Amino acid sequence: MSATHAAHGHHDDHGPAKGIARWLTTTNHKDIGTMYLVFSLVMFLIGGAMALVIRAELFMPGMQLVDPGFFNTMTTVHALIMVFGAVMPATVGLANWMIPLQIGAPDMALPRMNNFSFWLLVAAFSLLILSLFMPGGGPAAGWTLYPPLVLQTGDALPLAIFAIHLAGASSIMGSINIIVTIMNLRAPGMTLLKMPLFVWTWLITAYLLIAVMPVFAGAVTMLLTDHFFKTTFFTAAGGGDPVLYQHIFWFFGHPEVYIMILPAFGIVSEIIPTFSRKPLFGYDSMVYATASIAFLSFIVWAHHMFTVGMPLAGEMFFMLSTMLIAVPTGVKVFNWTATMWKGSLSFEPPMLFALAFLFLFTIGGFSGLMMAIAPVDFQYHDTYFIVAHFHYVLVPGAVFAIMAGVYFWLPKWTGHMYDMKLAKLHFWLSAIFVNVLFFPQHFLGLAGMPRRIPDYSTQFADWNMVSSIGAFGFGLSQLLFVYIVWNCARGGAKATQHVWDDARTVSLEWTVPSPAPYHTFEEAPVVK
Amino acid sequence: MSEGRASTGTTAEQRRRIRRTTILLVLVALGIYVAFIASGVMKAQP
Repeated sequence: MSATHAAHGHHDDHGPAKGIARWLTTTNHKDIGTMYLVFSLVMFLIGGAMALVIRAELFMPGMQLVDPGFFNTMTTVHALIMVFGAVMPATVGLANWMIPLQIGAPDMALPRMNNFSFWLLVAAFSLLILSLFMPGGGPAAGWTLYPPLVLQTGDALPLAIFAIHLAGASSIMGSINIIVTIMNLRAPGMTLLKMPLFVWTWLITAYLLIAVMPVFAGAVTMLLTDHFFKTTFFTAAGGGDPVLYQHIFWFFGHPEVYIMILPAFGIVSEIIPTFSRKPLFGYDSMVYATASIAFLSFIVWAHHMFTVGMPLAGEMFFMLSTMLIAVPTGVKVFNWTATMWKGSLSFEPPMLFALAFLFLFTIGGFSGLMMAIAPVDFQYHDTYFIVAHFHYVLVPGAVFAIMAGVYFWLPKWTGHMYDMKLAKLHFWLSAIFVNVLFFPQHFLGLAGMPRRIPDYSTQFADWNMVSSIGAFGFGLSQLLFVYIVWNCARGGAKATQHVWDDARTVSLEWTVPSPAPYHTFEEAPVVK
Repeated sequence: MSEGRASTGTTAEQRRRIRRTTILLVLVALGIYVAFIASGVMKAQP
């Protein structure tokens, strides 16, 4: 793709407001993107601290540090924070920063709603964290909030449910904004099949979000009325059905996994061609594979609940449809590998994280295929094998891709290069410790260790100790990431406009100076 | 001030399409929310 050079006049009268007012009232997509990313980092550290409480308790058998109720609260709130407060806002932050820059738009289509959806998220997570201090403790029924267990939650329940509603509303508003922006504000000449892959994956993700966040909101609204208004949606004694909740939850929950991973696919699809010095192999098939994964995500939900007891035909359907997801995912892995084939590869930090993503996400994908087999899942269900599987998908999968994206675009945002040696050190520490942390959990799960327990049989002691050492190593390594980003924001070697080798950077964000001016593409570029 | 930056760079036709798409997507989200609660009501009949 080539673009006629856009005019980037300086508009001093349109610069950012001063002080705190800038951040409270901003409607600028770059400011809001930055706020989402900082918020996500804070949540990542809070959720990570909760994970360390969990791993510290599991360092050895017996009850050491916390009581079982608090342990359950930690597993629940850690998951809610990481899913809705860390991973999703990080990808929304990247979308806010990069989508207008990549499609040649002056800003998001609905800038005021953009600001509102960010601050709604802050309110949501303030409420969720405050729920930890309510009488009876925080929510402790797992992030799935299954009834009837969740209905035993104390005063934290309405806070947690309100927090989920607010976070959901924020996500829906963000998604509407992204769809409307992409569909209406693309630069002249940028047809859908000329859009960068990151934009494509976010367009599909945004449709997924609009389709499934209201489903989750409906489910938790019904929980709320069951708890406070004596309805019996999920109470068998009143004619309701607890399994109905599981169906509704997972109709949301499985696409939610793809909501977290599709933007990660987009980021990796930007990085691998750049550092292979080749165009992406099979662009069109990448788009169709993304759309296929999104479609299939709606028809596989019951593989999360094979053990509730369902007809054999149902098990067969959900087993086979789940396996089918391996086809478009395989297309993607093949295309990324083929992009690197005979490329002139270099291994800067974004590429290192993208490569680790490729290998480690694939491990998570393979363990997912194992669990898709219904009779095998009966053995794995609710064991640490499941914990290992989804953490491989979400940590060296989604989180590594987000870090790759930050290292890729950070010089464009700040105008400075970061310390490459430290960033590579951060990569190697993260890549080693993430495997020390999660790989032994496969062994624990296969040996029968249940998930969500604060104490365990002594036969599981060794691998739990190894896993906890990995957790602390991984957690401490992330402080290095904070330091690198902080340092880069404050100063450093000047980044060029193209940042990376200019032969490799073909999309529109590389046509603006580094750092990207406060307002860009006020005159739309023409894409040829 | 950065208020309404997108609007200043957009045509009347684009603004009309933005408004129309936004309303449509809001209605879809609300419709799905109501439909799933309605499905719970139908299922929970004693």
